[in-house]
Amino acid sequence: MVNDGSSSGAGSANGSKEIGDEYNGNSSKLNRRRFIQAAGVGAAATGFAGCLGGGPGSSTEGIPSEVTIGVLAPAPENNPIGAAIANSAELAAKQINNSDKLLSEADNVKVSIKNTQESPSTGRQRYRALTLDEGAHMTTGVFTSEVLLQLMDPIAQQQTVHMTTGAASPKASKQVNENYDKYKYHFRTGPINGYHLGQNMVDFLEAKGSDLGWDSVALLVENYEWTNPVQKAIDDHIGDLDVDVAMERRYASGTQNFGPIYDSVEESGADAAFVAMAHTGTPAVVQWARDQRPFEFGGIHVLTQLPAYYSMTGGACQYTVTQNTATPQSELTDKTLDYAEAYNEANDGYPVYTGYITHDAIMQWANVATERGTVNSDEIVKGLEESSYTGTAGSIDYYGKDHKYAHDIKYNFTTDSPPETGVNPVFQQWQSEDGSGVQEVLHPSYVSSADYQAPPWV
Amino acid sequence: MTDNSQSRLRLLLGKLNPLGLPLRQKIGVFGLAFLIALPLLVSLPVVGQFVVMILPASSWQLGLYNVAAALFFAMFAMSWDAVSGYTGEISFGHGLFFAVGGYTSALLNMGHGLSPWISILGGVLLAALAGVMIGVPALRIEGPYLSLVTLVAPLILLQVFIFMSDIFGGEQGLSNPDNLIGLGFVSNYFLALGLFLAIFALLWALTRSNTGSILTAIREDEDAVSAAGLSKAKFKIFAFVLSGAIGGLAGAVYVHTPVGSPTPSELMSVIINVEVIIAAVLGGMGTIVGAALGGLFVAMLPDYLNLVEFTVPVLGKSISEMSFFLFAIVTLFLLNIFPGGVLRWGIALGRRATGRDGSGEEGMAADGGQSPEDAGTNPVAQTMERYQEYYDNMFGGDDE
Repeated sequence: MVNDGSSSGAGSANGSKEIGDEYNGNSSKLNRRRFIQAAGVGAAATGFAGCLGGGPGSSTEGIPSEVTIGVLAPAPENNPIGAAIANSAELAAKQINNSDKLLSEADNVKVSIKNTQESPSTGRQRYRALTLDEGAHMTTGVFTSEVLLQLMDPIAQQQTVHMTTGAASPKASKQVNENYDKYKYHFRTGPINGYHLGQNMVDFLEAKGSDLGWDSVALLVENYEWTNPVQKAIDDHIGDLDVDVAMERRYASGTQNFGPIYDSVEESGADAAFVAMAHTGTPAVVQWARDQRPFEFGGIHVLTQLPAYYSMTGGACQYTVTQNTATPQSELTDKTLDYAEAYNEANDGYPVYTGYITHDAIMQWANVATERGTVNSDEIVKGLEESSYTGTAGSIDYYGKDHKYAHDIKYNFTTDSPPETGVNPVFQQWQSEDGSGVQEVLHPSYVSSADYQAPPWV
Repeated sequence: MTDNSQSRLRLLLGKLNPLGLPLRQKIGVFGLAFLIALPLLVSLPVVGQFVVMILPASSWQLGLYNVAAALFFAMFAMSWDAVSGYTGEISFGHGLFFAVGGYTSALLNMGHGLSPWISILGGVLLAALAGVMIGVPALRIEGPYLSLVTLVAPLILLQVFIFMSDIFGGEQGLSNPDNLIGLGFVSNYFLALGLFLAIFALLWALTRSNTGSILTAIREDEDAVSAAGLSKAKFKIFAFVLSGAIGGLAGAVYVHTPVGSPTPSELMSVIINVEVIIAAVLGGMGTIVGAALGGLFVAMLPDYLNLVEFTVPVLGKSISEMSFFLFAIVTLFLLNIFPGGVLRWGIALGRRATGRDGSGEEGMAADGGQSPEDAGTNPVAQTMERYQEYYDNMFGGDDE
């Protein structure tokens, strides 16, 4: 459920400091239309009249007749993570259009999907096309942190609410906390941020470690930036448990041969490899299963979250445990399975975690816009800060402006009881059922769908 | 004023008169004038709408941003061409210089509070130093061996960035440093265009000087250069330092604009390293002009393809969905049709059309001395010939 993932210009196009400041988002009252006008003025002042014009719904007062939702997804046509974002946005828009309650003043809620190609420069280009050309009233999506971090300034400049549904880097929320007026338009609807992902791994070990027989673990973390906050949280909290850390290895990025690493795990005598893997995940799982290494395997393994991963690896991921936002087997709220089935019906397959989160983000935004009777971003920011929305992944609440993780979704620290506020990720295990793989839920117990199965060779 | 000085003035004015220029240069001047006038043209009532239609975006604002980004990419391609196009030492990892320039400037700006105007200088200096670090090994190893060094260098740098991610931000890159001149669409466009023209003028003048001739001679026959009593080592290092400094300058300014940022994907990814080579070879290796044109084309083609909503009937996929695939196909096609580069082909075509195809007179190509139609002596063919020699030696080929 994770991925790998201040301008102080002296002036603007015409050298005007005032407009330059507006560009830089220093004026919190500046809305998107004014930004375009400012750019036009900049052009005009240099002798060029400038063609002004907002998108189809550039009005920011009330609910316009056509509401545009901008979606940024990596290769939505073939990447399952991007497809889940795009398809869930379409599904949410359809449900809003069919609803009598949500955004009823609008004749149509339209979704515009753009491909970030997982590139910061493309992501910036597409984001600007969505907000400047198409007049998107909110934007959502973004999977990689590399793209999100480079969108923080454009989001601040456009002053349009953006709800992230894939990237986990806490650097984004740190920017919101440190410069609230500028970056307040950013919210992370999910997943929980990188530090809380690590905290959740420890909480899982506390709740289920003895049941699984994981009295000692070997911590294996791939050396990428995204694992830094995860590993910090584990290091901060794992000492409080009655679990022995037999070995801790931050192995090199790009590692393909896990033989020597697994030899060390065996020598350490650990019951399980407790992992944080994304880029290097597939060779790690395949070699573990192929060589039938005598230890169990679990933690955060991003690729095993994909519903198609069992067939992609020829069943090698069987018996592995990973954190996830939700699965088609986890009834976290009364909306979870309804959404998963509606998605399956529309797309002939179940969504990846980014789908649940994107659906929640758009529905929460629509609820807040309906309550406030406006799509004005400043009003929506206040609304989202006060909102507690029950979505498919749990209760969607955000940390306040003074919290160090400002505008990140709240993590539920009481990990084995249904949360009143915040979300509680699930831990799934790939199990075999009639020759095909199923993502059975082990934890939390209130959504558990199966008992843990240890690999037969251990 | 004497008759002599008057005739000099007339000569100078004659040279500056665009109407007196050769056709290819007239086209170049027209293209340049179009780029300079672009922000004005988009604001005109009727003409503006037509001009926006030919921009790689759906509005003039984003069009200017996208052209600015393409201008930076063209600068990257020109910096590659200055060393690899002229000396024939192919660099597979020019992103090293863009990244050193961009990251140095961003870190000096964000970490030490230096103004971007000063931090960019720091980026240029370190990139020039990186040019020395690659140039010095070039004295001992050549051809495919040196190419391997250039291939590995940015990979090592990326690993350093990941290993020391607390400083360099690892695979996620750094956040946005201060912008040099704010966020204006027009001002940033002119910043990119100004830098593009300055780099173009510098490299064009240098490669048409004696230094350029020596660099070309290194590509054609290193032994002949040594036999003439010239230090090929000195000129090779000069070429790498020059190219590194210019690539570093472009990378450093790029990260201080709204169209760029200090991230591995934008400055040093394998895709960037390869696209820079494709751009220069496609445009015309060893010409600077060709690298500039190729850079603009390679950067803007995907943007154009992304605007096409047409759905291919049998596949059921839209052109924009397949943009990267189509970009690769078009590029491969063009490279096959024009192995010497589109520029050389265009010049040769122009000469045939105007009846100045060189029969009975010496044809001067854009690179200052080669016949455009002599495919055997175009830089790509020469470089391949050099590499073939190295491979023959490597695998024990017959020495004749």
